[in-house]
Amino acid sequence: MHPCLVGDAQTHAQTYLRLLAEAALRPVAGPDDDRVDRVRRAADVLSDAEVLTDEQVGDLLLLLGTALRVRGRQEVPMAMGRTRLLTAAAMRRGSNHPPPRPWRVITMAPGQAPGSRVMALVVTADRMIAPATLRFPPSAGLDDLTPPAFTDLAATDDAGTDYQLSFTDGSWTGSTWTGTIVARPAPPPAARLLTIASPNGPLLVLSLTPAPATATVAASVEPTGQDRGERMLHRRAEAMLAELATRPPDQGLQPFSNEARRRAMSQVLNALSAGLPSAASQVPPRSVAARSSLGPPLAEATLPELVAILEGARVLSPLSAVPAQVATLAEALGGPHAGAYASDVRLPSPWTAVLAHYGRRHHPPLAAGTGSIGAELPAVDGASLVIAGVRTSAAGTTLHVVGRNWHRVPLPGQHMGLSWWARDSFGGWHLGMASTWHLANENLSMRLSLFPPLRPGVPGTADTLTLDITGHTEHLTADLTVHW
Amino acid sequence: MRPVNWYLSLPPAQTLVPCGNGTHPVTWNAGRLELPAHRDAEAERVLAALGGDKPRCLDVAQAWDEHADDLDVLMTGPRSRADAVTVGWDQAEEHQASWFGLPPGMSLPASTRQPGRSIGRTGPHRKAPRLPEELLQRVQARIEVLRLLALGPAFQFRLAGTVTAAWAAASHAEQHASHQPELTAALTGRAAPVVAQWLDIPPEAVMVTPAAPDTTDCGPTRPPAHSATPGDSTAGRPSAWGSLEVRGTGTNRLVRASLPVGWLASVWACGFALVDGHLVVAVEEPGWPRARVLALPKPGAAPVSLDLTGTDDAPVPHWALSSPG
Repeated sequence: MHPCLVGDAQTHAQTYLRLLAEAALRPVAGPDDDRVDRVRRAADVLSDAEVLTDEQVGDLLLLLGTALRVRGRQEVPMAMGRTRLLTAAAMRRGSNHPPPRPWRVITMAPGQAPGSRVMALVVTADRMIAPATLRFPPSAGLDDLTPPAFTDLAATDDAGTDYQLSFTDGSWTGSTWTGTIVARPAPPPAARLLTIASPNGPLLVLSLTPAPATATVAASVEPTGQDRGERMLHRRAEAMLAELATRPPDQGLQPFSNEARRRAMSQVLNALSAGLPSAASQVPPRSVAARSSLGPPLAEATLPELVAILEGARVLSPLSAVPAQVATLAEALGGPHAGAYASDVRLPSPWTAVLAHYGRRHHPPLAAGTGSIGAELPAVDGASLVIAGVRTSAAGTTLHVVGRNWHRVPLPGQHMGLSWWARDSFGGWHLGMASTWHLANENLSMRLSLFPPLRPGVPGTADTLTLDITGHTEHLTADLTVHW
Repeated sequence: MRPVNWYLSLPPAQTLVPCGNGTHPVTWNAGRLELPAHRDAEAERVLAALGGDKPRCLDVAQAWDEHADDLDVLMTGPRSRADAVTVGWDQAEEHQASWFGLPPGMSLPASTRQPGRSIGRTGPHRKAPRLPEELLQRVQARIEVLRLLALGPAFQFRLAGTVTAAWAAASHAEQHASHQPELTAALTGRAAPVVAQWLDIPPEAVMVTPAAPDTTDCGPTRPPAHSATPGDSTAGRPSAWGSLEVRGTGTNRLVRASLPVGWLASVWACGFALVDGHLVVAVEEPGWPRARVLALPKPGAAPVSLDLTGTDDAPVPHWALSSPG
């Protein structure tokens, strides 16, 4: 199901945007006239909230650009308009694809030997996709700072099939690479073992038959229960939390100097005293999560403007508490005073959990580990997902996901329309933010940074996870077991 | 069915189009575009279809027909007499060459398009999107609109009138709901400056939505003045001409109005939206240089019939109350 709006809500949003454009086309008020850029920002917001499609937004911006041009005015929105048109092109091209062929998920057996390991294997009609950790021995003579070229790696199976290997961009932490291996073609039915080897010997031997103990994932999908505006504001809050997680340690939570900050801090302290998970990690990785999620739209539209746009387009109720929550969170993170939004709002507990973690001055060292999950989830907002596994290192925790049927082909700087939260056995919340993704055919390999990171080896904090994925129309909850 | 008489309140207009080795006149008269330099235009079209050069005048006429119900014209074209839309022929050709700066690999050479094929319209016959041709066809359509705007201000208003008259026709009534945003913007963008001037308020305080489609087409068949009562306009209840509701006081007034899409053709495009302190809401008898209209002297008042006399002026006529007798 395509989660873009139809009917009255979309009509309201289009009308709102076009009336903004009409206002922008009236004679220039002065040198600081911001009306044209307001249209562009509103277009970005409504597109980002998936109230309007990229195509609708691109069309209008192109028209507005033409109308400005013939009036001798500067075409501020055109660059973005072109981008959106091309995005729309990519979207449509994607939508013309036939339905993807079935895939098969091979869960890796628990208790794999330490070292190189695959988290899960997704077998499609023409390839195998394997999020994995490859550990290279010191004798390989690799530079700590430079990942290997991989060109001398080879893959064969026990049926004599040679595979062509390719590798998505991964993380390299000196002797260990974590990323996604793609092997083509798909294995023949007779193949039982796949071996990936370097000139120094086998790096990885994995079974092509499912682990016998593979359990059905307990998962449920329900309507989201939020309107588009609230969803977008939640995503904005998540982006702010992710940005907090990627700040240098000495730039964590700012001192609380006013009433709103004290309110937020008191909630954080309450959360801490309520036994939310203590501890955790080194500084999280300098991923592009915040940049990917914030992107130009969110970075440029202030919260009051964002709320005004969403309310004006009638996708956010004026009675919603979420703007006040986001304003309070922003203020707690050192942003501007919550101002008109200041009220005695309660922040959602996942937000306070992340705030609590990153509000601490000291974080214990984090053990490294790779956890297999291999869970195929029911579709959410039309997207099919396989949660392959997680990798924790000193740099943080990364959740590896393979997906397909995205209604929107993501471009750099664009969100993917889903919010990700994981809850551990102790009730600790972990925010997932997409950091990188790689699209090949209909399959998207994605890595999400988890904030705060998981702590392998600490009982009860990382062996089971409840994953909450929220899209525009559907919310998925799944219980996952992690085999470290 | 197209409205047949909205244009009766407009005098003919003429412009010159670079065509071949010279310039040719193109005229607009009683709602039709005419090419006096191409007496046998049909034969020239056949020759062009067989591979001969197509005169630009014929291109212009063809584009006029193809965009006669293109709502994108209203987004680009003028909102008021003071809203100067300036497009030169060179500028239009420049955009044709540059494709608005789209990456060269993305552009579709004009030669690959089928001559005479309607492309990229926002109108009711828009085809299902296909890529990348559809994207590029939309860009090509913008270029064609630019060429039409290059005909000059008088033609720009007349083209807008043509488009809105098409949308006021019964044949488009069922499509109003799906094009509500475009129609609301077109009405607000043009009526707001007029109402703002009438009431001395900012145009941002005015919003005009399309009244329910009038399936009898726009034109002179407006209801008589006595059909609207004084209470109609202030209460915001729709009357035969529409409705107009004023909230607040002084410069803080907000206006919510509802007008038929045909108002844009029969009133606005003919230049008599505001005459002698009256807001014209409908036309009772179109004509040039004399017309009879239905107008509001002030918010809340009943509309009154006014006899007007026009003076030819570019881009649209100036109208004034006719002298008694």
